[in-house]
Order: sequence, then C-alpha cells, then structure tokens
Amino acid sequence: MTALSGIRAGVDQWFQRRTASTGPRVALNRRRLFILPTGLGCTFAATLGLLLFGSLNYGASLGFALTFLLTGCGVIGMLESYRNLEGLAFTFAPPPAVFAGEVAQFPVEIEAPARERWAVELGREGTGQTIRRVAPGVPTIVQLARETRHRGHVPLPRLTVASRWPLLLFCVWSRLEPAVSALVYPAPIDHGYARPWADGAEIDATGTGGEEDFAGLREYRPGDSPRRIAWKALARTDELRVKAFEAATADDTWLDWASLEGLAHEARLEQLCAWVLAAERTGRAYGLILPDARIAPASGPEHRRRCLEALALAAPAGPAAT
Amino acid sequence: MSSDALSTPVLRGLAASVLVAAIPHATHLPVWVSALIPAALMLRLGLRRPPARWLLVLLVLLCFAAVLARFHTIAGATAGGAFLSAMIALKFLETRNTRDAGLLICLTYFLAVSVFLTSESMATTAWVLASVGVTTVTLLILAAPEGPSLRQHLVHTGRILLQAAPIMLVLFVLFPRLPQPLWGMESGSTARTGLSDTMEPGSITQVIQSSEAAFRVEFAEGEPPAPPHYWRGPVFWQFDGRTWAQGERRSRELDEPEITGTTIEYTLMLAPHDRRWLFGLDLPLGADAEHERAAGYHLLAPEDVESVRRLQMRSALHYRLEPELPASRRQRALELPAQAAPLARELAARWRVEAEEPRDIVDQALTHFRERDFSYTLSPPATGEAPVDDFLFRTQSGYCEHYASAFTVLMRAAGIPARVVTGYLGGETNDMGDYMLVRQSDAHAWSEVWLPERGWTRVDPTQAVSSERVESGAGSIAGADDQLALLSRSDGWLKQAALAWDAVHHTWNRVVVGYGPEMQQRLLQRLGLADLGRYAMAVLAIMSAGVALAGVWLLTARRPAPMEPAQRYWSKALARLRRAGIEPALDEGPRDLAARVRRERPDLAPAFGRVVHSYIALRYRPQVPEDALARLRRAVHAFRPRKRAHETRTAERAGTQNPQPVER
Repeated sequence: MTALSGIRAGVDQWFQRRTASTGPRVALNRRRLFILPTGLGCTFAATLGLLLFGSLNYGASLGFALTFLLTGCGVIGMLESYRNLEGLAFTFAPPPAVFAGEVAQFPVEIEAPARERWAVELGREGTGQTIRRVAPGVPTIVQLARETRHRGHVPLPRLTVASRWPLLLFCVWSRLEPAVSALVYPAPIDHGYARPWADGAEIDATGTGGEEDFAGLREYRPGDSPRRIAWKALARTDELRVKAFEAATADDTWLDWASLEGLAHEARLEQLCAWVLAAERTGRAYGLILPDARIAPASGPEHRRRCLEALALAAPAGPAAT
Repeated sequence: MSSDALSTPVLRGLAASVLVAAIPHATHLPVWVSALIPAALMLRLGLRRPPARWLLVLLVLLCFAAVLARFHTIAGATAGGAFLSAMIALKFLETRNTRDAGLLICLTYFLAVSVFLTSESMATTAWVLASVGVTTVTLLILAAPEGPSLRQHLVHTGRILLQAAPIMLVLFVLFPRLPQPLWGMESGSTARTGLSDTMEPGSITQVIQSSEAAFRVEFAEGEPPAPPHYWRGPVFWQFDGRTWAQGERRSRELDEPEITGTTIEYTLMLAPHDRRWLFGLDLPLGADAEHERAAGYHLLAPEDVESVRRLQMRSALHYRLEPELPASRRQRALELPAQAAPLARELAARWRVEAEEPRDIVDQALTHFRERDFSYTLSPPATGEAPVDDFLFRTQSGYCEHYASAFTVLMRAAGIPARVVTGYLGGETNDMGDYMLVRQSDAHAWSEVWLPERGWTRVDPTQAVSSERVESGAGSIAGADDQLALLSRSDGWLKQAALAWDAVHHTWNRVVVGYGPEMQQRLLQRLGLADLGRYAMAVLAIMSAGVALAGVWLLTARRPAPMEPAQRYWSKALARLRRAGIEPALDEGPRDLAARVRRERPDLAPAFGRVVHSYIALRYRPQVPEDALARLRRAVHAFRPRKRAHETRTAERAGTQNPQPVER
C-alpha cells in the first residue's frame, strides 16, 4: 500500500465515521456536511487573483473594492450553500417489492426546517436527480430508482446529497447510508415445465371443494386462508380453528422445487415464481415446497406474498445444487 | 449536469451581462471589437446553438492578428482589454453548457472590473456595480434553471451584494497596498486630457476645451493665499522654431531655492495625467511622496501618474531661484535656432540697444504687447512656417502659449536667459468642500526670465494683453466653449449645483479613489494597527504558499494509483464491453457478468467467456499458471465486440423491463 492510498483509506474511514447512519431518518448537521470549491469556484478564485494583481499593479483603488466585493459574494455564496443543506432531514422507507429485472422505487421523504431549499442534488455520484425546491414544513417525497438484477434484499446504495446553489462556486455534500433495502422476488420466467395442475380442471373462485366435504375443524396453521377460519367456533371457544375439507386436500397443488429437475437452482426459483403467479390467477389453493421452507396450501394476496417472499429469500444454491 | 444544454433565460442573462460589462469599454476599444460583441451576442441567440468549431478557431486567430496589427502587442491595459473583449464575444458564441457559461461569467466579472484601470469615476463605479449585479443574477439562474422567479433572483442578488459589502469594506481598508507597481506598465496608451511634454501653438488650446478636474487642493490653513495662483508644471527650455520641448534634464547641481517669505502647506489630489510631473503652487518645495526636482524646479514623480494621487505638499510664495546661474544652464536658456524668427531678432536687437538693463527690455516687450493691437482669443488665425514672426507681426492674436512662446523668444534674442513654464492659473474655491478646484480649462503658459541678482522671475505676457484671463480665468475669454463657460463660470444656482456636485466628486476621489499606501498607513495608525501592514505581506505570502501546496497535493491525490497488469487488461475488456452496450454493474462479479453477456449478447459470449476464464484463473486460482497473464492479454486483445449485432434478446426482455429511467 503506497502512502497515498494509505491517506485515501484514512480519509475514507474518516468520512465513514462522520456519516455513519443511525436509523431510517438522517438529518444533515455540521458533522455530516462537507464543503469544497467546485471547478467554477477555482476559476472564480483565479479571476479574483488576476483582478487583485491588476489592481495592485495599477493602483486602481476601485479595482480593489470590486475585487473584494466579489470575494465577499463568494464567501456569502459559500455560507448560503452550506445553509441550503444544513438541517435537511431524509427519511427512508422500504419500497414496494418488485421482481428481479424491474426497477425498485425507493421513496425518500425530505423535510426542510425553517428555510426553503433550492436545487438539491440527490443520488449516486455523477448521476442522480435534482430536486428543484424543498418547501419548508411540507415533506417532499422523491422516488429513487434502482435497477434490480438478482432476487433477495437489494439495499439502496450509498447516496450523495449535494448542493451548489446559489453561486455554483462551492459544493456542499454529505453521504447518506440509508439502511433500507427492497425485497426483490425472482423474475417470473417460465422455463417451459408443465404446470403441476390440470388446466382443464379450473375451479371456481371460491378456491376450495364444496361444503359437503366438510371434514371437521383443525388447528390454525400460519398460511391458512382467512376464509376457512371457523369464526363461530372462534367466538365460542376463543381458539383459532380452521374448517378442513376432504376434497380441498385432494385438490391442493404443490409447487415443488424438487420436481424441477434439470434446472439450475435460480432457474427453479424463477419457474416456481411464475407458477405462483399463475396459480394465484386461477384462484386455486397452492403450497410451496423449497429445500429450506414449506408453505401449506392456501390462496389470496397475503399467501401469494408469503410464497414470493420465501422464493426471494430462499438460500442460495449450495455447491451440490448447481 | 454540466453537459446540459443551456436554457434560453441563461443565454439571455449571459448576453445581458456581457453587453453591460462591455459598454464602458466601448470608448477605448477598436471599432471592430465594439461591433463584434453585439454581433456575436445576436448571432448566438439567433442560432440557438454554437457555430462550427473551425469557424471559431478561425475567428480567434483573426482577432489575435487584428489586435496585434493595431497595437503591436497583446499585453497591457488597452491591447489586452481589446483582445479580452473579442475573446469574450467569441466565447459567448461557442458557449454550450454550464461549464462554458461558468467560465464566461468569470470572464465577464473580469471585464466589468477591469474598467477601473481607465476610469474610476462615480458613474463608472455605479455602472460596474450594476454589471456585477446582472452577472450575479445570471449565475443564480445558471445554478437553478428551474429555480425561483427572476424577481426573487434580483432580490437575492441584492441581498448577497449587501452582505458582501462589510467583507469588502474590511478587506479594502486592511489589504496592503503597494507604493510601487509590481511590474512596468506601458504608458500614454489611453489619451488623457492634460498638459503634454511639448508645447506648440494650439496644444494648450486643446487642453482648455476640457472642464475635467486637473487637481483639487485643500490648504492646511483653510484659506488659500491671495491670488494669482500659478501652479507650476513642466518647464520648457528647448525651442526649434515652432515647438518647445523640455530639453534641460540635468538637475544635479541645482541649488536649493532661497525662501524669502512664508511657505504654505496643502494637500493636492492629483488626477491621473499619464506624465511624471506633479503640480505645485508657485514654487513647490516638496511632497510627502517620492519625487525629484527637475531643472525647471518643478517636481517629478518616479513613475507616470496613472491613478489619483494624494500628496502633502509645501510651496514657497516668495523665493529667489538661482541668483547665480551656471554657465551651462545660461547657455541653454539663450539658445535660439539660427533661422528662427529673424524679425523678432531684429526687434529684440533694437530694444537691447535702447535699454540700460535687462529689466527695461522686459518692460519694453510687455509694453509692446499692450500697446500694439494684440488681442487674446482661443481661436487664433493659423500661423505659417515661422509661427513666432507670424504671430508678432501679422496675426497679432493668440492664446497664452503664443504669448509665452513669442515673449521667451524675444527675451532670448535680446540676450536675457528665458524659459517657458506651463501649468495652471487660477482655480475656483468650493465653499462646500472647503477646497480649491483647478480644471484643465485653467491650463496656462507663462515665461520666466533670469535677471541678475533676482534670479528666475516670472513674467506673464498674457497679462499684458488680457488681465481678465489672469484675474478670472479662461472662461471669460471670448471664444471659450459656451457650455464650459456656463457651467463653471456663471453665477447663480447652476454654479452652486455644479460646485456641490464637484464637492461630492472630490470626496469620492479623496476617500475612495485616493485610498493608497499613505492613507492606509495613516488610518491604521489612527486605529492603533500601525504594525499590521508590516506583517500583512508576510501573512499573504504564507497564505499563497499554502494555497499552492494544497493545489499540488490535490492534483497529485486525484491521480489514480497505477494498476497492476491483470487489473489493467480486465478494465480494458470492461471498457470494450461498455462500448458494445453492456454496462457492468458495481455489484456484478466476472462470472455474473459473463452470464449476462451470454443472455444479452450471445454473439459476444465466446470471446468474452475466454477473457473471464483467464481473468478468474489469474485472480482467484490458488495456483496461478505461468502463462495466465499472457493468455489474458491475448484474450483481451481478441475481444473486439461490435456495437450491436442482433436485437434478438432485447425485444424479449422488453416485457419485464421497466421503461422508466434507471439509476445506475
């Protein structure tokens, strides 16, 4: 490690220490804000230097005066740049889940105490968006887009919030380390395997067998459809029980990881994901079997969410699986 | 952001800034530059995009050549100013993004403030302030194109300038001033009104046309001494038949003047006149600034006076100059070109025979002017080849330089050492400012003759013809500029207003424009900070050194560390991949990237697969094969993707792709 990279690593640690996040809400204070002249700021300083030398040489008293007036403008510009970000608070919330390959939209709520702020740049270095105006007292909500490629938790990367308002001479900036991530489901890709249910035997939207096949009550298990909860029994006994149906069990569809032999681990998850969506569309009850999880058959949006979440967070392939 | 095309409001703001900054330069810019600026502004606003680069390069070269042809230099206030203005016009023409606009704004600030090298009047200052304001508004618009309204920008600019004012004031007062310029400057490039270093018929008449202030005087005792007030300027010894030049420069064996009466102290605010001499009442004895005494007993500054100078001066009203005249100087004061003024020589020879002593000859000459039909006018008839004879015997009308010239020639012809003195005569007392104002229109020329025992004695032949001129000034003379006469010589409210305005002007010049090293030292002493100046330069030097060091550090720190070979080949491959349209993500390892290339660009997959394979072998295998690096080099060399071969996968992916702009 050269001396220079040592210094840079040290500088990086120093940044890290000062900008470390403590929660979903980050308020920019003196400790977190940094300021440096921009390229234009350096050009401006060089201009002032030339004017100063000209004034010195020609003894032009008013040349001094105006040079110093512009210097003053630069100083005021620096202070105003700082005040444009100082106190700005960012609240991060997890975004709605997306499928891999889609763009996750992270909502960020920005609050400006006291003053209105102009032209706040938010994003990764180089790219990002400019927030035209942050009005005082009214939270401004900005969506930060992040392209997803893989399933799982995809965190919002480190952000830079910067401002060169009002004179472009100084750049005030801070790093935000938001502790939020998007849940990304596997991409629903049909790899061409036959569905584990017969397409002809579509059943009605109630999703289960007839009442006549009622087989008694059993204990509630997570994943059971709320439609099957025995509400009367609940009122009577205070115990959560579910109506069990003979026919339902027979018709239950199991989406099984193990049935997809010949596909790579990730491809299997993609296939299962496509099946979950399809099964949910047909309205049938379906269960999911993964190497490390098992979800009992049911249906409905909540069940669908649980299944997709299980697929999203399934353990990566071990050496044997690939 | 910096690649953004500029919005129309920004372009208009830039155009307005450049125009406002350039207007005060218009008077001393070559005509073609003055025309180039509005032309470039209109062209750019009309085109909405910059013209071709080769055209701009051509224009830059043309401007450079034109400035060089006109001024024979590119440096200095005038030539540099012309070149800078032309370059700003061309820079505006090629402005395309925020970066260009920022640079243009800096140049505009420079252009606006550089006006002060030529003029420091109140009007100029107000204009420059307005110019800085307009430019700052443009900068604000540039910083937030979709930001506040124009009215808010104007208010904001006003606030920034007001807040900057105290900073300006402190720096203005405390920043160390130099008594000497840092480097030599060209002089006489900008024509200023004032006495010149030669005198010929018509030269002073030109000066008199101007009502500009030559200098202002505050007397230590408050009251000026009794008139007449002769302000001594350059003294001329050498005559070639038509033109008087300074001639005598030797001043080493110059005797101290013998003071026979009171001396008087006063503060003189000298307007810049681009010459070295300083003016002083009657016989200036000394000034608080560095100076030397010329052979004509007028004072010279070490450098041309190019900005307002504030001088503490002392003068003698009664004195005796060189009662013993050295032979060399006596010789100089008697020289006449052989062919010059034969008729005048004849006349003088006659007087010389008749007179008993030199004094009589002087009286005789004055009587001649008074009793012959000599008249005094600002627009005399033209004189021919022999101006002195023509004036004395044909036209018999002229202005002070004619009289002074003719009189001096007559004296020399009669054997009396004589010389021409130029300067100012008179001045008006301004009660409001408690000072005396001497204008260019008070310019005057008179003679000095050397009389035994008395030494150099002032004789004003003009007085013999027109005592009015001596008593009430040039404005009372027929033929003087009417407006000038109205403004400066009439009585009543107009004169009062003019004097009040001049009082403001004087204060401005005295306090603001004249704030130099001497005044700063006095002020610091009064504030008890007398030592500040001594340390300020050292602090400044240390600060500059610090800034320079920081700059060097930043420049070196920016340079990326050299990469090891494997990394270098890998980044080369990635760059080629990027050009082919696949952007490697930060969180994407080589294997993932290869998988994506297989999916998105199957045509590239084999070649890129080889690159990945050899890279992984080199970086991650525990045992690195010996030829791994060479293999990677070959693989990278062979990996030359075309931009887009097939659009096969793209259509398929469109279904799952979100069409929204994507953050990378």
